[in-house]
Amino acid sequence: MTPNELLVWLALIFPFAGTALVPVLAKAGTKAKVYFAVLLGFCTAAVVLIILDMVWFGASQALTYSFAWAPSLASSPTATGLSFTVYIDPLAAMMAAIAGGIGSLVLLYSVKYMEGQEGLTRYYALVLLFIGSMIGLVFVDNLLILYFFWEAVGLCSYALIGFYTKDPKAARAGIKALVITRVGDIALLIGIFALAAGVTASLGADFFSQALSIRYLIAHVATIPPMTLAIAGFCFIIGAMGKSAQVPLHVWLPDAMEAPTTISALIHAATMVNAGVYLMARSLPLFASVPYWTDTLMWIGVITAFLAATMALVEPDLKRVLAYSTVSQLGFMMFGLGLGFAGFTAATYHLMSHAIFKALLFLGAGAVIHTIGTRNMYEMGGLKSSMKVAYYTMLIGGLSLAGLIPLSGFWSKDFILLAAWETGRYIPLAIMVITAILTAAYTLRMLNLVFWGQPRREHHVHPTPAAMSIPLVLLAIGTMVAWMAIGFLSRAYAMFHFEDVQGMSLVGFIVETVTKPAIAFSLAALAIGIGLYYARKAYAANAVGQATISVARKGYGFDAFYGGIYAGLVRFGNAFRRTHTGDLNYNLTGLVIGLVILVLVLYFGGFLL
Amino acid sequence: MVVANYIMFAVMILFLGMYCVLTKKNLIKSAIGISIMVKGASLSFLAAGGTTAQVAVVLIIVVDAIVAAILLSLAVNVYRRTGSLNIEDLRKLWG
Amino acid sequence: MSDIVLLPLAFLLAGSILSYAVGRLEVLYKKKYLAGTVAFLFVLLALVLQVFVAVQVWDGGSLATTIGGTQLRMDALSVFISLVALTLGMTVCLYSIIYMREDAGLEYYYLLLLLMVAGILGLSLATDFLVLYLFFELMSIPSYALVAFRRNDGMAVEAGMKYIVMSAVGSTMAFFGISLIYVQTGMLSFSGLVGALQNSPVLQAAMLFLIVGFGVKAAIVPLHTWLPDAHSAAPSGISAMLSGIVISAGFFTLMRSLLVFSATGLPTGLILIVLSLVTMTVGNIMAFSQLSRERVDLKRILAYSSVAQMGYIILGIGVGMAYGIRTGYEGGLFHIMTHAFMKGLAFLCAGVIIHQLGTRYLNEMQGIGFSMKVTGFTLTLALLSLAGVPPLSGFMSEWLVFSGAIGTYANIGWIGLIIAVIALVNALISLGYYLPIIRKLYMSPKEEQKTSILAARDPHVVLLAAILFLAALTIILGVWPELGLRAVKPAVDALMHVGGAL
Repeated sequence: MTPNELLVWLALIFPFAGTALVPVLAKAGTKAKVYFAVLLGFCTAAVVLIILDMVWFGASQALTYSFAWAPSLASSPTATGLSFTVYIDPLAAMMAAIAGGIGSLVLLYSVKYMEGQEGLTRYYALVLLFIGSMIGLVFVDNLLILYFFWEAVGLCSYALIGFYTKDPKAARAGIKALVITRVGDIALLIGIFALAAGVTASLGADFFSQALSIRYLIAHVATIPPMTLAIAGFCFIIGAMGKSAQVPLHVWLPDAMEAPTTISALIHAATMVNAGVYLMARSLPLFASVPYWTDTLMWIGVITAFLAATMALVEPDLKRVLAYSTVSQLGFMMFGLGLGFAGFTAATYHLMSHAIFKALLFLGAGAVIHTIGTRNMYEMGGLKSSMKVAYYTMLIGGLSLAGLIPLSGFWSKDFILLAAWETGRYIPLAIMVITAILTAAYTLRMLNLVFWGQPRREHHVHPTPAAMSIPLVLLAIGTMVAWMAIGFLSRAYAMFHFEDVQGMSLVGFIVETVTKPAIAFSLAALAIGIGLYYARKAYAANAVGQATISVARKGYGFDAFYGGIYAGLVRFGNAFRRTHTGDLNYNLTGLVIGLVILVLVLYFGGFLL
Repeated sequence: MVVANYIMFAVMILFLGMYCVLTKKNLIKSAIGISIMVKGASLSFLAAGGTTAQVAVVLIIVVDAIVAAILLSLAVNVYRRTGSLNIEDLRKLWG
Repeated sequence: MSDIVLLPLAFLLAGSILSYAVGRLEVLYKKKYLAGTVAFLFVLLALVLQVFVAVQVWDGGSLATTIGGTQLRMDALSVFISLVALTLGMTVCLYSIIYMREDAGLEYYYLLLLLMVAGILGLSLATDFLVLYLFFELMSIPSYALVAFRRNDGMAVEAGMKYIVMSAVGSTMAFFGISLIYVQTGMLSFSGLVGALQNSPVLQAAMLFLIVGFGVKAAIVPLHTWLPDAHSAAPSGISAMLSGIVISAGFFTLMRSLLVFSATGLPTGLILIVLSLVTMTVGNIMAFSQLSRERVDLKRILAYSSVAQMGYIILGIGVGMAYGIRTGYEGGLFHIMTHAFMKGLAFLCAGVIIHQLGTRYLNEMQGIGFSMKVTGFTLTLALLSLAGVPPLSGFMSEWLVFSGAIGTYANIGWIGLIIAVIALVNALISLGYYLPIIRKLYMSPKEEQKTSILAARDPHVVLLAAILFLAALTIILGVWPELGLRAVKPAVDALMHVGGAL
């Protein structure tokens, strides 16, 4: 085994070993297990950063290793059964680095944030399991194993959302998250199988295990019948919509804010929700030729970004604002990918940029909520002097989100708008600019309500512990400098032959951005957004404004719709239950009914002689 | 007689037994119904003839005897407990 | 002539008699644990022997022996089901040593339990219909008595009554179906019949009677109505056996019978697919609607869930039979294995909780996960595995079944997609009743039950050992499914070659 291969497996072994060992170490005391978990988090981060370095700067081809996970599934002596194959290219390396890096920072933050709470063994074990599954998700090339990790992160998300087991809201939110993402998961599974069925239909059943490999599929896309490809493509979109909380499958993310804030930062801002974007980016070469695929993706992104931004503007709960903001920014990324390869680099760059500043915002929000004891922003205020570290870091994060030059949020969002301009999608571009305006507005609203003005509530301030402030500061620095990585990122992409992605250097990128009209949009959006917020009293007071606000507060009825489906199912189930009367004669009649059904099946099958 | 006739009788007896189990409310009558069904099935086997058929019939007679024994002992248990042999009184488990 | 195939069966029979004898003596000497220990040891020995036989069969092909004119043959398929049955049986024996210690008549319990497992082994060995039927009844009759084992429990007796009537009617109908085959062809051996059967009305009738007859045991809807009653009223070890392996063995019998029809052109696979979809849907809806009752019976939900899970198994095997889709067979067989362990685990945990709290209703179990930590955790694992969540074993087996279902797209076009969608939507609905149970385990205890819930403790170490063993299997088979698939592969190879394994 080469050192490189060992590194790749270590990236998975560290977190998974951690999951298994944290409960064992729990016997040795709280400090032991917590520090052990943080240690493993940093080991994982170190390994993935080394891998990132290797793939971005060192290698000219992706890292590929495999081992036979289930050889007994081989359908013939020549087939291979199911193999655990990794394929690490710049995109995968970047996502793994985000997962490992932000994961380690979150673990460090948790040392103080979660101190003294019960169930810490479960917490750390699940966080490590999550980090490992996320890294596994982006590393593997085999769609089944990708799905395995896809669902595994969903499990961690469910378990961690419902971490506060005694809180019924949290438990319900966890179930809601799992069920709604499951809808997406089902579609994804159908898509995966459709692809495999397409390949095996043309090439034969022996190719089943190869038909699950993304690399193979992209290379042999011509062997898949177009209808099957289209079905798979749209199923993949639905799958991504579930995990990345796109409308209409977005309703679980705001409720998921019942999770501890560290979890919101890690899972629901920086990593798991990006899995959908990752999936779309990975499958773009596969489905780009399917008619309307990219358009669908783009419009889903547009609608989601816009609606979520409006909901963020009226939401009183600090974490829910950030949740809606995440949904909206994910919409930006989907929009970018929906522009085709022109937007590929922009969208994935925004993914990285957003992960950093959103994690920062969540962690800062965690500190604020912890201090002031409420999540309702209307009860906060005036914290800027009492919580300096949180204030300054969140200010930087917020301005990055709003798109202030030269923070990374500006560059990445502008890059997407630029790509839209270049590809001539002016109407979606216009809506996205409006969304950018709203983004600036709600960010400003959040900062204003939380930090500025007069304090509205008594609070005791304790100085932020180092374990909490170090991650905040690191992430703030990150969002200030991360934009410089664009040169490396696009060059790495170009080197790996992502079609139509042109490599550009940092200087080239800056020149490109500044000289194109899109920058005007970005800066104008920021300015108008700020103005909009300060002028809010003017238009929010009238009837139309109030009506819009209340509709937006109710989430435009999506939650009510799903609640209705559930209630309908319950009522149907109750009515159906009456058929099981418990009377033995009725039970036995079932036998006769069974016989009749079978006779009918034979009859309609044309078999009855 | 032609084998087919035997089979026809066998089917009739089988369905007669099934009717018995399906419609009668008394537990003992259900037990008898099962036994009737068994006779029908045995008849069908015997129609074909041969030693295998006879082995089969002996087998099922034994099985039927055991099943009837268990069933009737349960019926006695039910009767001692509730004083009734009506299956409509056995409705505690439903839904 | 490999008489070794008979050894596990012989050990089980010997064990049953011996544990009865020991049990009788125990009553005299006022001891409680010996009968169970004897039973456990014999099942363990049988399992070891079976592994021995299994390795020989996997390497060299099937082993057969002839007794008095009938051939008893252990092929890869028999080996598979025997291994699962013996593993689960061994665990339940271990569990019952402590769980059933307060019951009277224990000598009968172990006698019947071992006879039941012997019946399952026997029916896997059968090469003709008569022996198949004989061992099928050997499995069923003890199960009738075991459901109604607690004679003073009104619910158990009622459940046993309904079970025995329905099952006896089913057996008789199956027997009638066998007789029709005999009338038609004059022979009963599987290998002979595969070649000799030709489509005719009599044969179609035979097939129908076989399906309905064995289908009662296999929990096919609408023949399943005995199941929720029997599985919820039986002692928990027996519920685990029933749900885990007996209904699968019932389906195994059905499968063996239908494989005989493979040359006739009758749509056995298609019928199984249709029935599986109905079974899945009804099972899931009924389980889901249990939650809105005033008093939610935990074991009843698990019982209905067994119906739904059987739907997956039948779908997998049906897809394989109808269109020769390998992943269908793999999924169906692997799901038999994983379901035995995870459903067995769920019932054993439920049994422990019910025993501690003295209530079988979920509403009164609120918050038990905090006091009975290990039990709560393993029950959660079992439920998540049943829901098909990785990295637990249920994921892989369900995935294989879905893969097989979608594979029918190549044969029947978009109908195959609809089949897969129905199966997947069912998986979604099943979340709707598994997750609320987990949630209930970890809510704050209600005021009325606070004292009893807080006083609960994890059970006796032997019970925990049984539970942890199954939990370990569930996790291991999820992370490293190769362990189970090693046993599945030869069986699927056998199924794919001849139109049957014989």
